[in-house]
Order: sequence, then C-alpha cells, then structure tokens
Amino acid sequence: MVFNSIVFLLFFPSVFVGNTLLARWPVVRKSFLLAASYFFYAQWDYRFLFLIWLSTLVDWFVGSALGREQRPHARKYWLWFSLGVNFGLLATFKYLGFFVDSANALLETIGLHGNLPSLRLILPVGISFYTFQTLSYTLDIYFRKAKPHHSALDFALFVGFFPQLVAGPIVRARDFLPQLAKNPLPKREDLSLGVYHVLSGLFKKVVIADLLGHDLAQPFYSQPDHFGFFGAMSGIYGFAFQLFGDFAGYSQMATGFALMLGFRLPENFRNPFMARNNLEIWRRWHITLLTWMRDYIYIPLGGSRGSKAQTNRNILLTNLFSGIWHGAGWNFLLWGLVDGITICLSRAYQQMRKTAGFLPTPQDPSWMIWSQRFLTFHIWLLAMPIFRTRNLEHLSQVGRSLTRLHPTSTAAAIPSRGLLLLALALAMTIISEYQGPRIRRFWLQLAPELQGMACASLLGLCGLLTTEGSPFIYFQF
Amino acid sequence: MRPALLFFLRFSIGVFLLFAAANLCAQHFHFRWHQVPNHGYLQVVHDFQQNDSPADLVFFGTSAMRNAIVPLVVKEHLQQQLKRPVEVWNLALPGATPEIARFYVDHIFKDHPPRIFVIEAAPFLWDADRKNHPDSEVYWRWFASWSDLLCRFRTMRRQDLPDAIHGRAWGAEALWLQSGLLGHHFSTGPHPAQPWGGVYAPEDLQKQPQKLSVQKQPGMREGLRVGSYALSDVWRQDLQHIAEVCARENTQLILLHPPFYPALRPLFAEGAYETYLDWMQENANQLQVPFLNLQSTIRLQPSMYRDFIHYAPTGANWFSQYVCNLLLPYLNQP
Repeated sequence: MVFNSIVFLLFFPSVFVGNTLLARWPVVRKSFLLAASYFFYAQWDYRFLFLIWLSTLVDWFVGSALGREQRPHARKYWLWFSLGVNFGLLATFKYLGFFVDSANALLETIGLHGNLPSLRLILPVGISFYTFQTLSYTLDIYFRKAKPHHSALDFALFVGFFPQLVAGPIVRARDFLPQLAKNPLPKREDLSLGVYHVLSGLFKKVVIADLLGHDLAQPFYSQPDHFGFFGAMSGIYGFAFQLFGDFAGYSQMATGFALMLGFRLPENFRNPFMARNNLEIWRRWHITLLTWMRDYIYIPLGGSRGSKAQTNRNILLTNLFSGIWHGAGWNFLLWGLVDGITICLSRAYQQMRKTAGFLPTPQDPSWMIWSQRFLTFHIWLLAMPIFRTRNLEHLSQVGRSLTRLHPTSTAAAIPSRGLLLLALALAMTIISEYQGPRIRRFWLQLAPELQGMACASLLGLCGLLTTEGSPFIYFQF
Repeated sequence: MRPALLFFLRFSIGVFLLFAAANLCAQHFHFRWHQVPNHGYLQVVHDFQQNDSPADLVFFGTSAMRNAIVPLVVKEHLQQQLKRPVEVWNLALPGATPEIARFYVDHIFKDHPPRIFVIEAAPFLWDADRKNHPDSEVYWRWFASWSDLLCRFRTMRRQDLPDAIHGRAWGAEALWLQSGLLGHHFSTGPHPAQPWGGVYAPEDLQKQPQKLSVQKQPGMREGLRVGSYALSDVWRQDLQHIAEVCARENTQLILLHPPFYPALRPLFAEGAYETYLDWMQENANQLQVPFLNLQSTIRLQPSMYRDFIHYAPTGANWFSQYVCNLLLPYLNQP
C-alpha cells in the first residue's frame, strides 16, 4: 500500500475518522493507530512485522535497562546488545548478499575459488528507517539525553507509526514520545496544512518524479551509449529532480498525514537545490538522516573538536556510513566517499572565506547568490551518476556520453514533455524558496470546500498523467 | 472532535462537487481519465451516437459477429452496388446478450434508428449456456441503469453486484447517461481509426488463422456449448420488444446466423441445437422477421476460421461480401 494508491485513499480516511472519534480515550486511540500502522505495513509482507516487533521489544527493554543500570560496563553491554540486534537485522537483510558477493569476488581476484553461500533475502520495507529510530531511543538514553519512556504502547507507536514507517522522516524518540504522551488532537490549521503537504507531496511524486523518471532518467540510464552530451545532461538532471521529487514528496506526504492525525514530524527537505555551498545542501537534503548521522556518528567520533585532519576523517567516515546506508553496493560507498570529499573541500573553502572576512550573507548581490547555487548544484549533481549506476562499466558509459556531442541513436531523442517538466520542477523549487510561506498562508485561508476541490483537481490530474501506485525510490533503502 | 469531523465533512463536499462536475461534463468535452477497459467496443457505440449521418446498416451480436463483419468491406461493396453513400456499423461486443440488444434499441438507437438492424441469431447470443447468461456481467458493468439495479439487485447474481455498482457510479455507462457521481475511467487523445471497422481493432482480430482441432480447444468446449432445452421466456420477450421497437422506428430487423466451424456441432448437447433452431424460427415467424440461417447454407474453408466460432480476417472479408448480397434487397426497398 503506497500513499499514491486508491487503497490508501480508502485506508486513510478510515484511520482519520477512527482517530478523531477515539480521541477521548488516549489508550484506545493509540492502540487503534498502532493496529492501523501494523495493518498498513502488513500489506507489503506480514512476515516482516516480526522484525519490527523484534526491534521494538529489544530497544524497549534495553531502554528500560539503561534507565535502571548505572554501572558504565553494564550500560555499555546493553548498548552493544541493542546495536548488535539492530545492525544485525540490517546486516542480515540488507547487506549479507553484498558482503558475500564481495568476499567471493575478492577470493576470485587472489586466485581462490569463491563459493561462499549467499541467502537472497527480500529486503523488508523501511528496515533502514525504523532500526535507526529505535536506535535513537537507546542511544539517547545511553548518552543521558533522554529518560526511558513509561508507556510501551507509546514506544511501539513511535516505532510503527505508519506515515513515517517505511521511508521516513527518521523521527527521534525525544521529539515524538512527548507528543504521544500529550495525546494531541489536530486543530483546524493542522488539518489544512496537512492537506497542503499531502497535495504538494503528491504533486512532486506523481507529476514531477514519476514523469521525469519516465521521460528523461530511465531512457538515459538504461542506454547511456545512445546519448550525447545534451541527452546525458537531461538524464542526469532528470534523475536529480526525480530523486528529489520522489523522496521529498513522500516525506511531505508523511508529514501531512501525521499532521492530520495530530502529530508533528520533523522537516526532511528544505529546497536543497537552493543551497549556496555543499555543506548547506546537507542541511537541506534528508535532514533527519543527516542529523542522525551527525548526532550518533560524527559527534561521538569527535566531530570538529580535533584537528582539521581528524575532522575530515570524521566527515569521510560519516559520509561513508551514509553511503552504505543507502544501499548495499560499492557505488553507494563510492558516492558517500565523493560526497564526503566535497563536504571537506567545501568546509575548507568556507574556512578560507571566513579568514578573508568574506562569508556569504543573504545580502550578497543576486548574481553571486545564483552563481553559487548553480555551482553547488552542479557539483552535487556530478556525484549523482555514481548513485544511480549499477557498476563501473555502467558509470563509464555515462561518462562517455558526456564527452559525445551528438547522440549515436535516433532513439535518444529528448522528449519535450520531459524538458517542460524539468523547467516546471526548477520553477517550483525557486517559487518554494521565495514564496513558500506566502503560499501556505494563502492555502490556510481557503475554505475546506475549496481545499477539497483543489484536492480533487490534483487527484484528477494525477489520474490523467500516471499509473496508480508507482513505488517510491527510497523504499529500496 | 467536532472541528476535525466538520473539516473532513466540508472537505469531502468540495471533493465530491468537483468530481461530480467533472464527470457530468466529461462526455460533453470527450474527456476520459484513461482508456475504458473494453477494447474500444463502447467507444464505437459512442462514435455511432455522435455521427450525424443516419446509419443504413447496423450489426449486433457477440464476438462472433464482431469478428464476422468488416464494416468497411460491407460499405464499399454496397456503395458499389447501390451507387450511393452507405453508413455501416458493427456494434457487436464480446459477451453480448439479448438484454444488451434490447438496451441498444431502447437507448442507443433512440435518436439514430438505423435502416436495417442485423442481430446475430447464433446460439452464442441467445442460448450459449454461458456462465454470464442470462444476467450478463457485461450488461451489469456497462449498460444497466440505476433503476434496473435497484429493481433487480435481489435476483441478480451476487458476483455481478460489485460490477453493477462500479458501472453505475464510475464506469463509462455513467458518463453516457450523465448519471455518474465519480469517475476514474477517463482519457484524452484522439482515437486512431482502424480499417477493421471500429475505432479500435480488438487484439483477437489480428490473430492469424489457426489449424483447428477439437482437442486443442478445451476452453471453447467448456464455455460455448449449447445446452439448455427450454429457452428463456425472458429472451423471447426481449426479441419481441426489439421487433416492436424496430417496427415502430421503421427499422428492418433481420436475424442472421453466421456459420460456425462444423466440428463444433458434435459438442452440443443432444437435440439442443435443433431445439434452438426451432425456437428461433418459430419466434421469427411470429414476429415476421427474416431469419437467415447460414449454418446449413454456406461453408467457409477451415483456414477462414480463427477458432470454432470466430473468423480470421480472410473469413470475415469473404463473409462480409457474402452478407452484402443477402442484404441488398432490403436496402433497395423504399
């Protein structure tokens, strides 16, 4: 069951009505939401509910134990137990195949016969997200930033809450559990804003992401040898906006649905393509993952407290971890490494500018702001083919297409619809940066009937343009 | 609690209003969400209704008739003979039943009565002993009205009920009768004309002739045997109603039995086919309607069949020309 499907269109109103009617009885209401969340997840594969339950139970008990236990050794053992279970789940379901294949390849390279057995396991949807959520609970308690929560029901709902269960945003226990404890109800403004986020996210996913993927990204990446420079660039741009539209769209829809149920999820995207340097991109793109990495990997490693070399090492390690989180493949590791390098270079450059007394400000001339954005976007963009391609051979085909002026095949025509959508995506990004708050204020002033009509229009447009229920890219992570 | 529910109610009203308006305007603007999943058969009927020129000849029946008649071939042949323009339509569709035929004369022909209406009179329309007889899922999905549904929901088959509700609220029929409240079967775009006579050429018409063998077509044996001995009174009434409406509209009704592959004959229950023929002839005599039984009159070559009852393109071409000669006298009448 994906958000952009007819089934979900029936599921969510039922949950909304149930959530509203049961508001007076918090325990019943939360139980209802939890049951609905498990039902939602079970539509993918009910067997993987056991993994969520395992992760929930383990971290609930570890959290309780860490709250009681004061001895440093014992606390450490409990933490390692939680880390072991959660990373063990990830290692088994997400990375086992990759490790075994890599070991076999290494053995072959040194002349030995690599025949290690590999289990081809189905990747449970959302495992990378909910394991990080449960880990944030135990890590916060371990580092004494939070106390164990008194309610197992609240904790289970925090882990399994369906809007963010399968593809984020990665919610922190210390942000969400207090909301659950208060039993919040959506206000009129929350409902309107929730609808706005859902529609906006749906438009990004269905109109921008899916169509750009179909028109530009998929044709290019499936046959890069057919394309010349302009076709290659349109494919690379197309994938960048497809990835953004898909992921940001999903996050926004999740935020909207949660808001309509009375809960606030953290912001996950903030117009990343408007960033003026590569450091800033990572404060605007997949914010919850990057802040998780910062708080639980970068800072424990030492952060920026040591020397420049140590700081750069910490940045690279964190980005490598981020890369491998995205997928079990050498291309993801490489992508993480490249991103880490660009961040280190960007940091060094910012340091130089600070020394020279020339830090960027919002009052800088427009040409400077836009040229910085242009450059930042394209530096980030050049790493995208590493993320998208299957292997080195595929990557080199993409690279060769960029050096070719003319396409090698008539099948490499760039559809005008794709270019129009690219222009639309760019326009939306710019408008959102400068007029986003005004648009939201305007929306909040509209009567619910008009909001309903806008929703129906968008649903109609989506029905015209696309097929129902196309999956979200980040489900594979 | 109340503000949330009130918001939800007002929001839903907005959604409903816009969908209802879009649905009601949909037909006017030739607007559909995506292709109606009926291989274009209903689109042909829609085009028939929109056509300004009165139809000279309309064929109706099941997939057998759909595959047997090529309107363009009939049209060209007749135009050569009559030395004047001729409008020919093949509105047959798979799974058609007598009640759908009745729907056509009552609704589709209301403003456009054809000069000649040829209905398939093979057992597959009137006595196919199919799973979808006598209350056809096709009828409930595309043609039944709300009043029909409300009056007959207790006697209709349970499995047809979701189709019926879907068809009334969401389906193409809802668009035609402008009674739809919600719709998701819309699409835009031109519909390319096909030489096979409809706007869409159904995939089955593209197949090449196959070497036929009883043993190789178990599905055919299962689905299309003639089995019942007591033909339904409802169908008799349907036929009578069709004849009456045709008479009232000065439309010549003709019952046409295209020949099926002879090897199918032994598969019928004993005596069933003869009973059917007698029943059809008796009704035709009573209603003073011509019954052209070509099963015993002509024989197509095996290569002209695609399967036991459907013709290959070569068979359809040949049969279409043959039928033209049969129908000429009726077209020559004032």
